[in-house]
Amino acid sequence: MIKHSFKLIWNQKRKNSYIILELFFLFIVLFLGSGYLIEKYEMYQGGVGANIEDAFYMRLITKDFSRGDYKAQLMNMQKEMESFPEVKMISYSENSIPYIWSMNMSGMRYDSTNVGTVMRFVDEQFDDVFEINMLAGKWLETEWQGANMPIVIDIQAAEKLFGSKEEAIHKTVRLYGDNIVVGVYEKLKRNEYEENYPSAFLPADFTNMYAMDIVVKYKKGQLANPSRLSKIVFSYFDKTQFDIRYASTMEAKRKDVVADTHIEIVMVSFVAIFLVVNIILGMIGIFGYSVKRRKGELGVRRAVGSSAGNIRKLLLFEAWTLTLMALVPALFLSLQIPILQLLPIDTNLLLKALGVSVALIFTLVSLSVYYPALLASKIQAAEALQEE
Amino acid sequence: MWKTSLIQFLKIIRQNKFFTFLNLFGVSITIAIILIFAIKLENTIWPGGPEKYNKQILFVKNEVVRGGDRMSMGGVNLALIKKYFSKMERPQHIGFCSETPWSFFGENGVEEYQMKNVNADWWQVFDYNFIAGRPFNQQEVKDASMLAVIDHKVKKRFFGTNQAIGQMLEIAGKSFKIIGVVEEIPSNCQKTKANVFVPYTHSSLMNNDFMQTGNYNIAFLARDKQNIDEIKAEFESVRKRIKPMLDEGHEVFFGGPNGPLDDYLLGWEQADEYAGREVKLLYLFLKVLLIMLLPALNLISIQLIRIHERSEEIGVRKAFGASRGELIKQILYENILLTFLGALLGLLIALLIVYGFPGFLKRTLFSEIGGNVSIQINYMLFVICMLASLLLSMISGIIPAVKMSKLHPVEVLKGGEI
Repeated sequence: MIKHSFKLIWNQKRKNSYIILELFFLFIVLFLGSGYLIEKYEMYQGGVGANIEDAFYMRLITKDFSRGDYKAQLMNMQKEMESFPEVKMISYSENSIPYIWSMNMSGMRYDSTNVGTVMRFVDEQFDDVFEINMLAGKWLETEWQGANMPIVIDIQAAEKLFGSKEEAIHKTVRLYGDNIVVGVYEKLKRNEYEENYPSAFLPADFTNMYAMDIVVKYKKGQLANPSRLSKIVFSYFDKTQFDIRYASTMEAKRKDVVADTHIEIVMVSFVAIFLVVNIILGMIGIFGYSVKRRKGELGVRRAVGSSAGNIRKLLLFEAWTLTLMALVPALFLSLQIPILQLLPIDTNLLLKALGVSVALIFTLVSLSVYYPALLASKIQAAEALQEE
Repeated sequence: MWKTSLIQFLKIIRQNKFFTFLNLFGVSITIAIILIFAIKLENTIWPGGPEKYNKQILFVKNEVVRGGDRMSMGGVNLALIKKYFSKMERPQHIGFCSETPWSFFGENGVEEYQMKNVNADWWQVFDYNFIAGRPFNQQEVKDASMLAVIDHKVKKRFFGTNQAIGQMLEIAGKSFKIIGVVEEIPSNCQKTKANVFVPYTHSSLMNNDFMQTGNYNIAFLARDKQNIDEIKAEFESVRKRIKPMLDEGHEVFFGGPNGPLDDYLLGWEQADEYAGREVKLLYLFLKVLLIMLLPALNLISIQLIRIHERSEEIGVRKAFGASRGELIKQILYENILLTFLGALLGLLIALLIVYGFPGFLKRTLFSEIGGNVSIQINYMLFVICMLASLLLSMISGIIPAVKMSKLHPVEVLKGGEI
């Protein structure tokens, strides 16, 4: 059947080369569109690596940026806030929570390997408040034993420096002075749609600070009026020296950060759908026309015993063969991307996008050939032959 | 001649409904989509509202300090602004602001508002529309007076129909006296949108460590075109003066100062990796071209089919003595008329979407609910699109028409291939 299809296509080289060209472009559109959407979807599904539900965020900051030792106040404040029935936990950190714009990157070194790493300074409760996914070892302690400050690194950094997460534990790296690795976690990104940079947590120093991000984790669904919180904050920290800069739910920060990407996704899907509809209509047109022109041939086929189903199958096979012919160069080209490393795209993602677009193109071609094929199968032998 | 052609055109349209539909659909939907997307693009780059005159404004949106394998990125450091950028001489006005969300816990849960901490010149750079009251002035900003300018949404929410000027409002734990009410700012005005404006001196967070970035952005108002270049040059010289104050081997880059178009094209890329306006526009153009290639191919193929379908009719015409010129003229006339019809239909669809479903459109394009983004169709762009599709349909019509008119009538009548 395929061989027969090839012969039929060869007889109509010029018209078919046009269809092949169109199918080629259809594939490119499907490939780019599905690649983009799959990437965004996986990023969204993958999350930032933290759970921000029921969390409220405040930034406490000294007005003149002078550094000082506020450890005692912070600890007492934590105790008082955690005594509220609706509050689950409090965490202090510095420029470390997700959905903020600031980020500090530095090189982390082990032997001769160097990995650019996002540095985050946090306290002992940070992992529980944000539900950081620990893969090996344990979370860091702010009161540590030994000479070297502990560090918790993410799996990317662990694999790049040590090969595996188990290997990383108890090794000494150089990032913020000499640091000893105590644990490995999955990831923490600034927002869902950002590239996942290697990152690491270090203990925050409360004895020498000018700004502190306070995150209050409430019990499930009990997020309550934070005006009480700000009163408590100012009972420990003098209003003339300190300021609360941001005060909002983490969810509000998240929405703010991802809004633009969501609009972009809607627009890209819209364009992709528009193009696909356009191409399908065009293909229906071309297939419909070719059926019309081949009335005589199809009539002869009916006359010599082809059933209506056979005719439909013949046209469908022809369309599939055409698709295959368009796919060969398209696949060849798109596979060059990982082979020649043209673009920094994840090979896994690329293969998924290819799979989805191949499946889609066959479905779409079958759909667009259906109506013309139906028309063709209704051709009566007598009628067609009479016209000849 | 034209009248007969017109009658014939209408006949042919009706005779071959499916291809006529495909042709009209292709052209009209493509043009409608281009017009709608242009609305998005135009309203993002030149959003109107307080940013009405943003062609005169240069933005600096971020700062990167980098050296060795260390990198810090964020907004512009306030200390840098106060010591250097706010003292620049070329700009007419220098505004700067930082943004903080304000979550208000009402009876019905959390309400989110945007707060901007601005300097007094901010009100000179941008063109806010005051419903009542006034902005705060230099002295009030210097004194860190507890004053606030609110937008109409906040006014309605907290004061209803009552007078708001002179009233107190508690914002994020502090009590502010309201001195001005501005119209609600459209959500596409990303540089100027906020619900509450307070003097930046309240959170006078001065980080004198220049190795750290901050969270401010700057807007320079230029007098004229020439002034824009002067400001850019002055900014660059200031940047060079800052460099020696950083640690050894470090460099500072800024996302600006850029006009609205460059600012949009730059996106969130790092400033020193910005490929430049020409390259970016070329990429954008190529993307659009790639997207438009498909509808164009479609249009051509459908036009070709329509002419092939009529090969017999053309043969008869030739046999009865129609000249080549006449045949080509007739085919082109039909093509152009059909494309023109499609383009008009496209404009109608776009108009229907813009004026029939403005809420839906604003939500999808600008994630704005019930706001006041002003959306208009760019008629110049419509004319360009129409000309482009006319050109395409002429090209796709003229080649087969010429070929066909060259053939001997006998061949065409027999149904010969062209």
